[in-house]
Amino acid sequence: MERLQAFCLFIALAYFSLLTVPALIAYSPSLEATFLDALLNTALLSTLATSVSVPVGTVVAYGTLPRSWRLTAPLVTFTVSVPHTAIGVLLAPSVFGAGLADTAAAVTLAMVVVSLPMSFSVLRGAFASLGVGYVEFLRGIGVRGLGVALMMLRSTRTALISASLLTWFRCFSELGAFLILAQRPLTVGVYVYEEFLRRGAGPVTGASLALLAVALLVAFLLERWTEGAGSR
Amino acid sequence: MLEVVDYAVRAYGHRVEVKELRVSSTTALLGRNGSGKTILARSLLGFLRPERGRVLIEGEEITNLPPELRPIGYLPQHQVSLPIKPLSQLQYVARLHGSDWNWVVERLGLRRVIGKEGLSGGERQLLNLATVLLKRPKALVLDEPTSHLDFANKLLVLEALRSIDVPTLFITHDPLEASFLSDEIVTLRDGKVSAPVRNSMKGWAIDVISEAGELYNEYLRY
Repeated sequence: MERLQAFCLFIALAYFSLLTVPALIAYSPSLEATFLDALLNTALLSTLATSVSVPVGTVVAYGTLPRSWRLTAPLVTFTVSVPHTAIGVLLAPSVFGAGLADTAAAVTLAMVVVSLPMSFSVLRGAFASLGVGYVEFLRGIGVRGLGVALMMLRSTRTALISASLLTWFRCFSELGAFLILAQRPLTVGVYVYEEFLRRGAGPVTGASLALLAVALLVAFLLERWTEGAGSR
Repeated sequence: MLEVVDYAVRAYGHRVEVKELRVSSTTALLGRNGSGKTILARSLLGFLRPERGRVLIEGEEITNLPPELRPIGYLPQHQVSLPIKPLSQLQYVARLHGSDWNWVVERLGLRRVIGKEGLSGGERQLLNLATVLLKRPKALVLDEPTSHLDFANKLLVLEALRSIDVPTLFITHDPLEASFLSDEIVTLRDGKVSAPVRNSMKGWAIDVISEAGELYNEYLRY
């Protein structure tokens, strides 16, 4: 068992090294001020989009718990299975028609649309894991409507926080929809893409490594936190 | 008294029929896994709509009342753990019904449990039972409340259930538990609930389970 674990760790490290070590050796970090602006824009708009996506995902997840409503779930989750450039194309008429192209509102809208399946899926799984008996017990002791929903939310608070973090990262990492809808304000995905097209891989390697470092740090923290929450 | 008259419910590929069921003290509904016991329980609570028939509590029909308004206490098959401390759970439900929670703590001997964190399965089930009793139900429907508990916890819950004087429909697959707790036993077989038979094995079952409890404690000492 220990040998197998050591082997798995080796594979993981080899994979990670393949992505990072040659890049670190070949290019010294060359971060520009524009990158930091893009990073800040993306972080702020991701937070805004998450604050919309998670409540909406929660409400839809709760509302589609009854068997008769489950068939409505794909109306929210279909964006997972469509290329995000196509999502951008689908959103374009409403955004362009409203004069929102290349605005923070368009970026936020795209983020919400692509991240909604994330918050919805995590929370629906968490609600479903409570079991039908949970709701029936609550209703049986006289808890009604919003009281049931709030108690379920308290029971799934770990999932709620995980959903928020994963949703935030889904927003943060989006590119496809932005290319069609809103290349400005500049987001990190668009920054890396544009710089790569203009100047090649070298100059944006520092930015890519910085994004990787941020993602890894948060992934480790998330893993550690959920492990702790699971053992409580 | 809980009465179920000329009743039929269909769900998840099962149909359960009850010609007449009267629960005035403790009645065990005995049936095998998958026989439809839980479907009947959930239907009596109002979570599944019956095809026909009536449910009455103390002569008043409640067939069309929503679950929250039925004067029935319910423990579902899978143990529920609410995300609040034991005392808060009791206080919350007591507030909902404008009642006091102290009596139920005394009745079920929960004084030590309400200050604890990390309850055992049996303690959790006792707490849930206390929570249900705060509603001052006129009947209880308990769906295999001990099926997932170890012997010591099972004994804890069964003893507590014996001390409750609310008409109780105790649903179980275990004939020994049914004999231990009930005054009457009905069975659910081929989708039909039988007429009740008086439980003549109660004394024997109490002796057997009590002796098994002593034996269990004896084993744990080694």
